[in-house]
Amino acid sequence: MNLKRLLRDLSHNKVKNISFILLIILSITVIIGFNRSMGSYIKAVNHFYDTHLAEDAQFTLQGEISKRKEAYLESHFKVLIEKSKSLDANLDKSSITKENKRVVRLIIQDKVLNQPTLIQGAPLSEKNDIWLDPKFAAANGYQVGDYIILLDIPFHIVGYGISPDYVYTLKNKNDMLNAPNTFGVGYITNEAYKKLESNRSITTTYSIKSQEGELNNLKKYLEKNTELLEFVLRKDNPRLNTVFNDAEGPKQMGIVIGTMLIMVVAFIISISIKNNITAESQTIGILYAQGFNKTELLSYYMLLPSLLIIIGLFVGYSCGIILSEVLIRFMEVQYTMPYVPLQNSSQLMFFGIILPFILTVLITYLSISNALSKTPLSLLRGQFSKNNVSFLEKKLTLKKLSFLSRFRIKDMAREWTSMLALILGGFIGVFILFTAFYFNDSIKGYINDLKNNLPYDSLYTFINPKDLNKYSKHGELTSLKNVKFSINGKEKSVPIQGIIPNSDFFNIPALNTLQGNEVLMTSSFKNKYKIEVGSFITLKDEMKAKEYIVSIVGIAPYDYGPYLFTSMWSFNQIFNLHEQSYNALFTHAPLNIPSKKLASKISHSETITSVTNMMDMMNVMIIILIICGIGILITVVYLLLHMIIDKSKINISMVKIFGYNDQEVSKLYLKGNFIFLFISFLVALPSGYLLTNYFFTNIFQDMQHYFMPVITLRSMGICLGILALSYLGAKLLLKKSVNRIALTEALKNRE
Amino acid sequence: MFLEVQDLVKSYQTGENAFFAVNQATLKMEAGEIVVILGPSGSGKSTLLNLIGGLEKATSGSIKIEGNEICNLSSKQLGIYRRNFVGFVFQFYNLIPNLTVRENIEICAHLGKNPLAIDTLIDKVGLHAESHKFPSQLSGGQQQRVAVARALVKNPKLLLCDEPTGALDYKTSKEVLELFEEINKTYNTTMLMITHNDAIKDMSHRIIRIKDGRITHNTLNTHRKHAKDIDW
Repeated sequence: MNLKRLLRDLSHNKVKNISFILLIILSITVIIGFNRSMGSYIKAVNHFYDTHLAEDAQFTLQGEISKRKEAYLESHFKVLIEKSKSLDANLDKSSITKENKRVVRLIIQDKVLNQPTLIQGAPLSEKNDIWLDPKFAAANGYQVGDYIILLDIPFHIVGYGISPDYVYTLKNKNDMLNAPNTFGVGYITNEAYKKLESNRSITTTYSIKSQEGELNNLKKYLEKNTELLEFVLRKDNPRLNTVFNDAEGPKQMGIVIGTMLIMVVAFIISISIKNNITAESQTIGILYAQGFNKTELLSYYMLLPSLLIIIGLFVGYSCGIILSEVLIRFMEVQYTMPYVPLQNSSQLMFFGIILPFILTVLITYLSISNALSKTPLSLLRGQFSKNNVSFLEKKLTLKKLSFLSRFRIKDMAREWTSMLALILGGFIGVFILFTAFYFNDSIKGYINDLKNNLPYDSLYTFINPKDLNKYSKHGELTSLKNVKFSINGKEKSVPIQGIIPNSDFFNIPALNTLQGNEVLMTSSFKNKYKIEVGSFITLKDEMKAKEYIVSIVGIAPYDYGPYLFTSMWSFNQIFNLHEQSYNALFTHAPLNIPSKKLASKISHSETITSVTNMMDMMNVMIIILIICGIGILITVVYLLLHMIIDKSKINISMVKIFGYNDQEVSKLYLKGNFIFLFISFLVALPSGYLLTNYFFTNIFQDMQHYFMPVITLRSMGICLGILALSYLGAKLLLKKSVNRIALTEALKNRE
Repeated sequence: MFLEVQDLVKSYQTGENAFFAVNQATLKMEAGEIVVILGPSGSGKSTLLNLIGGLEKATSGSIKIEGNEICNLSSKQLGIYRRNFVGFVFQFYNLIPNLTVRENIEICAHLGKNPLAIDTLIDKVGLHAESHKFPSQLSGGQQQRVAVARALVKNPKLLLCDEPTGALDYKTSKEVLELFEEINKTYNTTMLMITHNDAIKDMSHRIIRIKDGRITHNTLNTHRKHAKDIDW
């Protein structure tokens, strides 16, 4: 019988129940979609690193070490060391200064560490077979079976492959973003490589597999006994590490937004059931009087939320699975991985199924249980019915207002729980909208900042400063150093840049007055790490195992990432370098410098292209967020106002009997609720900022750039417009419901 | 003639059979009259009242108020008719719970072209001390007085009362009936009242009896009594 009544209720309140289910589906879809895709990606990357022996660290020396020395290091420090050679081959032979010169980094396929894996195609069987990195192949129109001419040799592309150390295919480790249209990797046979390497410029790095404790000792040894140019742990290597930050942010965002939404939905469901209980209070009183107990009634009223959440979970889970397939493509745009199997983890089951179920059942249980805790007599007498007036309503006299305003305010006060739910639901919708616009404006703002603030065409940082002399006349000398500093117990990396007096590129008068240990920071640096002017920070040069205390004395008038600026003189003072010491070069145009000589290269145009590509990728995400936000807004506004109208059916019918026309009735019952959505708007504005800030900080925590969360007035206006349109849309739908309320409703009333 | 009802029919189709809630009803009322319609449950009293009040549309027949036909009016026009001509009082008061006594009356004051003064009306129905109370703080009789004042505030020409004393005890019922009588006298409001209570007919100018949707009696009350003198 309960089930029959439940089914009748479901069909009678179709729109309302479908809206509940839609909101639950949306919450579960978001949680499952983000968690499953990003969780699976993280798991797959870890598995790939484990099975294909991703290096724990790598180092570069001035020159090479002998096999004997290598064997000594391996046995002494209990590590596995592999010499890894690579050769950059230009795809475009002409024009040495061509801006978008395409480069394929050739690497031997047969390796012990950072083993490449075949993504598609066949193993290398012939001498000139090659596996190409699939992103580069796609960006440049190469397919399996094609030939690619590199260093005058036609290589037969037999497959696509990738190794763990190029999952994020950065040309130089400190590059801002990957650029598959200009840089890719290719894996070739040992035989082919040997033939190519003679008389060519080879880059040699050493990959290490070990425990971190041993690595520190090894590093110390290398610093003491060799000309160590670079020693990079896996956690500091963006090629291996960025993928984790990039996946973790959306995963957490999905859980936070989805769980918040499910809580609001549960709250709205509980309000709806409580309204039903109030309307049926006399019937419930009769049932109590007949001998029914609270548990029996509770189990009946809990059937609806249980059914809604079960349907929502079932459908939401399926939609989440589909969404996860879509979202994983976002990762595939940025990173290259072998097949990533989508997996259902225990965390996914907890956040995507168990927690939403528990939250919905618990929130509705508490509310229903409280509503049923009245004595049979009080229920029979209707003492807890809709006729009661709350303390708040009694206190609201509002004598100075017009009758219509008083009426509306009193009605809102009567429905304060629904209004609270409207604020919360509105908040989530607007919050998602804001997040979308923050993303949009921040990235666009960053592109603009880059265009306007990056004052050079290229910045080349040399591994060995001696190589700089050859090119110094083509640009302006500078120094750039990546140093570590501690913030909130975590070690972060920041580039510090030394600028010569009267620089052609930078106009920072404040640099001329800096003392030996003083630096300026960019706004991005200040915002990312919450460091104020006047602070002291300790910079650590890991290569030299030295620490330097600097004072931040101002904000630099340039901002294209979290950087520290100082004068060239101060730079050399801070790092105890001789006066004419430089390691980098700013240029007005690109130079043809072999990659092996460079620690990093920042190119104005490539950086902008990369960020613009990223923007294109983010656009899809932004559109998904905007659609979700609008969907939530319309559904929540419609649901709650519909519930209020349902509750006021008799009164609406009465005022119609008095002679109020449809327009006047709508004014009485539908007007004025926008104020609550406006409150949501005001609360969501800083919250959206905080979430975006958290998200950006998470993504860029180990990267050399940072998108400052900004939102333009125009976007705020658009958000407000969307909010108003959603409200008007829901109101338009509700007008029909109000108009449909029959005059006879009031005649049925027996209270 | 203030009200003329001619061959009024309201039927409902239930399957293949038609159910006649009101069947060929014909009646007339002069302005300023109090008319009581008597009849058992299900006789069609409330349907007749609703048809006259423009809450329902007739299947056939005619209802004329001051010579104007209302049976062919659209829903929108019926709304204007109710707004300008009719006041309703129901058995279960139907007050808006979160509005005070004064506000419950005020809600209808906006509708009338020539509304009565709210405070005067509150005094008239004897609720001066209760004007800032909410319905849940009032007795049944007091709530019905508010409902009467609410119906009257827009100064309607026709007051339709559906079992106005049905939920009240004897003493309160008599107080409410006295109020109706006084209002009729003061404002010359035409009143159509339906009731189960046979005794109420004594205070009316005209008595109508209805059974199975048909008007069986329509007589003038030649021995009219004051409300305070009727008893049951």
